[in-house]
Amino acid sequence: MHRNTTFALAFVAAAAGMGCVGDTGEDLIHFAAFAGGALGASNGTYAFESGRGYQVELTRARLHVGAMYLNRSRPSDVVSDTTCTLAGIYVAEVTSGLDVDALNPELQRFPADGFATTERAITGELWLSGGEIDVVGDPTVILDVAGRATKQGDGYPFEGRFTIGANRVVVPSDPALPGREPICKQRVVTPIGTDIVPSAEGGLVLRIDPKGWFGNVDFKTLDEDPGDPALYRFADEESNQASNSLYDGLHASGGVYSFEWDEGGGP
Amino acid sequence: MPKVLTQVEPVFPPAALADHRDGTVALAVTVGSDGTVTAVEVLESGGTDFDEAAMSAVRQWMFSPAMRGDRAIAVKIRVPIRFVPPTRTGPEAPLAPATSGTPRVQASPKATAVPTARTTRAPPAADAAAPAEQPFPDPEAAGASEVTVTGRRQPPVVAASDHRIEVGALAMVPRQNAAGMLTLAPGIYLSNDGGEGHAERVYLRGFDAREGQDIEFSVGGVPVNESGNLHGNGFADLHFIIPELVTRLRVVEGPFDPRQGNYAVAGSAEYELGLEKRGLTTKYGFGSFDTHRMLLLWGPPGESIHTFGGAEIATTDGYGENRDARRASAMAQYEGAMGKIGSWRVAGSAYATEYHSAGLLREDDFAAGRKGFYDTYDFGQGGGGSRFSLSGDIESRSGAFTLHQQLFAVRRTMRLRENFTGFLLDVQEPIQEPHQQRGDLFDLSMGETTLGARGSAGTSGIVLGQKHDLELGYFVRGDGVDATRQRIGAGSDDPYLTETDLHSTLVDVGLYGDATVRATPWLSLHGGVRADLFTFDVLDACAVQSVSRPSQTDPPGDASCLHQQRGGEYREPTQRSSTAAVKLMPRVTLTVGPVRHFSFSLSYGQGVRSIDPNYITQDVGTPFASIDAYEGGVSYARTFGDALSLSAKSVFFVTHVDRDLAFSETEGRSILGGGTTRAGWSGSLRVAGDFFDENANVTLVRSAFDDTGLLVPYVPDVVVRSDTALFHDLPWRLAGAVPRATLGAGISYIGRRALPYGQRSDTIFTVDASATLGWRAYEIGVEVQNLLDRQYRLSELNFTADFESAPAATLVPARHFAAGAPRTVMVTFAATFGGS
Repeated sequence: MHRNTTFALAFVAAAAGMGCVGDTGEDLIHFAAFAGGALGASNGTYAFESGRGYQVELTRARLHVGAMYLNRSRPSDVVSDTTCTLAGIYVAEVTSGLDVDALNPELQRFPADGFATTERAITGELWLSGGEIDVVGDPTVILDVAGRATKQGDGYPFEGRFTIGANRVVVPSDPALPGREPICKQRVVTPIGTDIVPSAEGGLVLRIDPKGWFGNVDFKTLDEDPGDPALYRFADEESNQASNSLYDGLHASGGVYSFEWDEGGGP
Repeated sequence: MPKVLTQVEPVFPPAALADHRDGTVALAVTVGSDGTVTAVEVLESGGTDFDEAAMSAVRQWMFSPAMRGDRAIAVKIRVPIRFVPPTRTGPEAPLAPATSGTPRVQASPKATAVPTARTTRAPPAADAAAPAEQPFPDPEAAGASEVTVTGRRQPPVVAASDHRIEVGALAMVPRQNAAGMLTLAPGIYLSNDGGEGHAERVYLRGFDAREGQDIEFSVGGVPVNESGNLHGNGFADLHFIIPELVTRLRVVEGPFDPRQGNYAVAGSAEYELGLEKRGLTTKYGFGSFDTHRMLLLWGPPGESIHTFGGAEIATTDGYGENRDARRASAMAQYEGAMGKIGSWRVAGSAYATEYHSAGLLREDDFAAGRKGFYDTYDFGQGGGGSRFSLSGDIESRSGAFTLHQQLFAVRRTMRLRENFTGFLLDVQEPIQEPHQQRGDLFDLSMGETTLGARGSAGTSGIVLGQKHDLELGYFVRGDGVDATRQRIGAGSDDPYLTETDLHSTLVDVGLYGDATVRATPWLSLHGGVRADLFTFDVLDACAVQSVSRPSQTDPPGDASCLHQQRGGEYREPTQRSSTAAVKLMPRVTLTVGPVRHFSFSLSYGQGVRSIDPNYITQDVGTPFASIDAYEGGVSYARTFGDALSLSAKSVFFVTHVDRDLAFSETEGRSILGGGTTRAGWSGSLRVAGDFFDENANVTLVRSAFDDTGLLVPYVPDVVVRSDTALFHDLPWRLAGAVPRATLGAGISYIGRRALPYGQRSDTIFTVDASATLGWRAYEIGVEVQNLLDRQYRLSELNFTADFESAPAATLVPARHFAAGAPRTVMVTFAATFGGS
């Protein structure tokens, strides 16, 4: 090859090498998302002892998960936080809802894949909503449980269905701060500690252990079902200790929900 | 013999003017039987620049045809043209006057420039179109009168990347607007996600200069950058410029000239206006998407090309959803002479626009079929604005100095409504009544009045046998800016939140000294220093927007600009801040040119961008964005024979910015970020001949953050552009006149741009083309943009937005894009009366 031509080609190649090299870091990926019930559950039942000493056997435990999110940062100022979202940068999201059978330890796939960056996440969130997070009215049944609790020979067959809508609106105590208790605060379970770096090969798994929901539930405070005196029913509003505790347990950010990254991408 | 009926004056080549060079060009001009100039050849060259200027002008001359008996015939005549720079008066001083004043181009039978003599004897059997035998015409009878062209002092070439671009025939390449002409310079890519009336976002040689925040723009010396614009400090909207009135561009791709001031971070671009075609030109175009454009241009015959008037009105429904637009613009200038010592100009412009914008679309919504490629989320997006400017200047010789003084006034309004994030930013404040996300559409409005002046005194002289130049100058502008930004409720058009309400007085005073010292004719050191003082006086009328513990008896509720502090303690909602700072910037270039046609240069310069008034804090020194730029380049210029000129440049460059800007979708504008460095190479080529003009450039660049080494997002690292013009008379006649045809083509290739999160955009490859057919005073044409009808993404960004297209909120950064225009066809009709 002519020497000048060689030189010219080498020059162009070197110059071209200056462009199209490098990147801005990280990546954007799609991933499969799953949820699974308690690992100790079998044959559609899950038995455990609650924090208040009740022997509980769950025969139905379904949770509607509206969305899942992972965030790069941990909330630092929860007192003034009235927003529905964290201030940090979100790393992953699964925006298609799923009714999770919490008594089935097998992984249940969300209808649509999630989307993520490949940054490290240390906080997870569950959005317990059937619609927009900040719209008060929402008839979606978020939690549907049934089972039997016994303690010292007393039995409490129970059922409960929780919605989060106007029945859960909290009236602020300070009239100067009317927006201090937005409805989204009732629907977002956060912060759920985790340590995940999403990657193109894996999938996100939400594990739900219903035991934590009932940790502080005192079943004897439940009211009988007017239509079936043999059944105790959780009230879908602020009511007795048992109903309030189960509702609080639904929002427990520790001990109930956990996120993990399945490098295998799920089943 | 032919007689001159219309004589278009040549333009004195700026470089020759700067060097005080004179020259004579002898042309062989073929005058057709219809009196038009059908061919021009250089018989005696005066140098490339003089040759081109002379040929360009003479091609536009009109003659009464030579007659043989009763029959008009074609003849070839000799036309010498002499270029005379301003005459010096008095004895030569040690530092003699710089090249300035009133250079004259003589094309007069009484002087040395006349259509005086024929040189070619054509065959007797030649057809009517061929030059025929003619006696030497009598100069007086030729009818050419003395022409004096008033030239202006041109700044010296300061670096290899100092691009002086004559638009010339390349004006026939289709462009969206005058901003599109910037791509004649290397490394420039334009995008626009804000609509027809929104300023183009400019990427220049590794910089994301946004809507001009990093490029100093001026038109006829009047600054365009808008200090204190809330959308971006230095925002520059070029849509008021009528493209047909742009004769020349000077693009300096770095801060290498002491004349460059605020915002010259990536560089500067100066538009020079003029109108070479004299007479009254009317043009009407219509085309795709119900687009219409009416244009009037007026160049009084006998006046300088810098005396002109122009007006346009344009409307379009726009492609896809919500892209309709309307605009009108008028520009006028008069240039007069002050005897032979100088000239003066007054200029004015008026512009108004109103438009809608489609904004950005999420890629996943398009991929899932939830949105079409040209759809929009928010029909409230768009904007409007107006701009009025008035300027006057004088350039004259006074003793040993050339003096220039310009005053300008600009009034600008702008309204911008954009929604980048959908329903994401309406944070529920505890003091507010409970609410849902009301929508992130922001409504930004601004009114700005700019008054300013610039001036300089230049001189030059011979020391130790070499010519040296010196210029001292100043620039001052004051801006009064009122700017607000509110958020608008989706569907209601009601503002629910005032985010910003600023009233700013901004002043920039710059002084510079610039010198060129020559050791030999081929070795020179050029440079100087510039100092700018920036003062800021900002009244924030919405200084408090939230109170953690408000008064229980008088809670502020949903009010935006609060007068309470914690516990309900009273304070005014306003707060004033003022500060000032000075920046000193050296700039220097070493030029070596021992080899004929070649010039090598090394350049260094510092630039500055003043800060957004948003960031001003009382008595805290104004933070600047400072740039250090280095480049080394080689330029080549040569003519081959009489009809081919070639110029080429190769430039390697490195630039560093200590505080770069990064686009924030939540703010809807760019905010301060970290330091960045970019390194690259650009090459450019221009080849012109009798029937063609080609301008091409390639730029490769790597732009990275200093702290991480990661690429700066959105900046294209490969930019390739070609502009081609072909023009020639057709080989047949129509009703006694020779039709003239032109073809224009613009080809752009933009490499895959780096996007946040390791992504790359699509490449962009577009072809635009035009064709015209001219006959006598009439012209019909067609312009096609995106000839291949490629579906491409004009801009692509990764950020977080929630347009409620998924069951739950989308909070992870995702790909968004603004659709480029599909194939767009415009048919134009033009007629010119009373001129050439």
